[in-house]
Amino acid sequence: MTIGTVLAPSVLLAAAVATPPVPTFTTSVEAVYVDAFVTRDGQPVGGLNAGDFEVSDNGVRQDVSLVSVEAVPIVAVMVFDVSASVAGVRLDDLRAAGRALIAGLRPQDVPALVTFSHEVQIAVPLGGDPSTVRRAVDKLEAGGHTALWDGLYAGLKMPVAGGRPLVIVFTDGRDDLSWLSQEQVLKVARESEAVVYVVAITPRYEEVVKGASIMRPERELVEPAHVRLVRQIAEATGGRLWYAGVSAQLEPTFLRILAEMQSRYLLSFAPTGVARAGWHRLSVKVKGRKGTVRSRTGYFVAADARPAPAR
Amino acid sequence: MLLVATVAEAAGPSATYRDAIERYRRGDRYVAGETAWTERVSDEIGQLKRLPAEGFPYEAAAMLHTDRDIYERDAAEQAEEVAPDTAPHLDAARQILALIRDDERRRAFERPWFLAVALHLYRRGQWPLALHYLDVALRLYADDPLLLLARGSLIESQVAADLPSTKADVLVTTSNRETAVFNRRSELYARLGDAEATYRRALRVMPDLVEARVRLGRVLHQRGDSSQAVAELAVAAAHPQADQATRYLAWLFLGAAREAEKRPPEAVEAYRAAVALDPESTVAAVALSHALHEAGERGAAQDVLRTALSGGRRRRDWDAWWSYRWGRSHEVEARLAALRERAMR
Repeated sequence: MTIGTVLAPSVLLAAAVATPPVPTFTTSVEAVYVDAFVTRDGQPVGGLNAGDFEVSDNGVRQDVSLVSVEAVPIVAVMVFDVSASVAGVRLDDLRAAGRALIAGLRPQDVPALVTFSHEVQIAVPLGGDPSTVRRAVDKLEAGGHTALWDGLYAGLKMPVAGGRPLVIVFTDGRDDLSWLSQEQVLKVARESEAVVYVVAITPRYEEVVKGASIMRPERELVEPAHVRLVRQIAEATGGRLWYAGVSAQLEPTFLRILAEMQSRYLLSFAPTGVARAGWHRLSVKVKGRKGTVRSRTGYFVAADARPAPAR
Repeated sequence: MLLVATVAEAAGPSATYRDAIERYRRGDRYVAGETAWTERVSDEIGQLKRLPAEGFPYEAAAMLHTDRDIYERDAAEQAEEVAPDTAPHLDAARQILALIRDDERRRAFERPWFLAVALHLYRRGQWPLALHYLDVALRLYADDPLLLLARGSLIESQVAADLPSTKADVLVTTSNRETAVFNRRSELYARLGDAEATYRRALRVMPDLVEARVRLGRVLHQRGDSSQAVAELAVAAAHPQADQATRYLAWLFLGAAREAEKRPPEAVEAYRAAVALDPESTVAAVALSHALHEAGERGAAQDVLRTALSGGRRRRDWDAWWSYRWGRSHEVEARLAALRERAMR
């Protein structure tokens, strides 16, 4: 079985002391966090220790610590599509799913809400209490076009001062009005610390005709183009795309994402033997066990990056 | 008796058809929704061609068919059906207008009719059909700057709609698909070249058509010629005849071109100018935030979003960027109304 990678790294210009409840850092050593999810036969694998992981940064093996995820707050930024196509039952189901997600958060977790149609709004910024976010979810209204990439950008740029940033995107359509391109948002996602999960209500496949023969055109089933683009962003962050066939599936899907977030491993290492600035290619494996690891494939350090606040 | 009837038919269109045109000419638009006069349209036009009467209300007949096309497309949309990608009534209207022998009279009506019809189809998303009518119109009125502007923006819209699927195909890495993706990208590039040439033609005729210059700048940027794009957009942004929305777009696109040139500080400056022109714009705020992010000013990038996108604001209905893809199709009602008024004199 292939062992892949699934991590969400965070680059902090501080030294990691990877101990609960909330890690603190000195300012002399840069620490990188990688949020990883390990599965075997589709089921999460628990009980792993730091020694079970093998992490390479630009090909150089690193010493890894494990941070207890129980103690680290999840910063859950909901990014919801409220374009016209969501109106009706779908919106009712989205509200219910949002409420369920908020109810499923632990006391130390922090929710926020971004909405997008043709216009992006930060409905509730970070720092508000869950009841404020719940009320905002209840008041969601649908209408207009879809600026998915702009909405996702706003979610990724939420100022996360501490905790594990989780961006849950719901969409049921293709972007048609964003200013930013998918490539621009993909780059921001790769540089961010967030794990992005996308929940899409859309057919999993669409039939396309290939080849030039008019008489006997070849047909194939492919993932819709707009879904492929959003999946690329999710996977680049160590998250994933979920298909919700119908909107009634939104609530269980949101809760599954939350459960997955709580089943992940938060790895930490102080990079050694590699140049500081630039793109760092990451490889994360589980040693001596079968399993698939989902995590981001790299992280970026700007040449003039300054120390970030501790988680 | 039979002979008399045959002669009468040969002398012109049927009484039903004539009656419908006359009712329309007198201001009864509802006749467009009736079916009796629509049953033998090609025959009626055949008869019209034999009619030597210069006094015939060709304009009213053309607008009757035009409104019939609108009626049928409205009905399809209400029934949530796909509107037809043919337009027999618009073709009929075009044939009728071509029967006007007085050049001045014909051109005075036909030219704005083509533009209105193209915008009508443009607004409904029937872009290949709209492009067809614009190409027909430009064969007759090759130097009409507004027809050229509409054609260029229509091509831009089509490319924007096709681009995401081309980008997504890049993610699928089979070798035969790579070739297909390359071909499609080449095709999109060529279509943008067509739009560029169209805008240049419009600007040769009307150098002060600032909207065409803004669009030219954007197309140049999309084709990868950022330095030329910057030059055109800078001229547009400073043009004394540019309205606020046009200048706002010029600054936005200038920011994008500067980002493509890897000059984030200049991009930030351009986006700040766009924000100054439309401080409520969330689009300009997102653009500015992203440029600040790319410039390494991550905190400032967050501050811009927090200020501009915070909840509790009234939702906006309009932003020049949101309507950019639809060109001037918002003018269609006014243009059609003006044509009806002339046809009903």
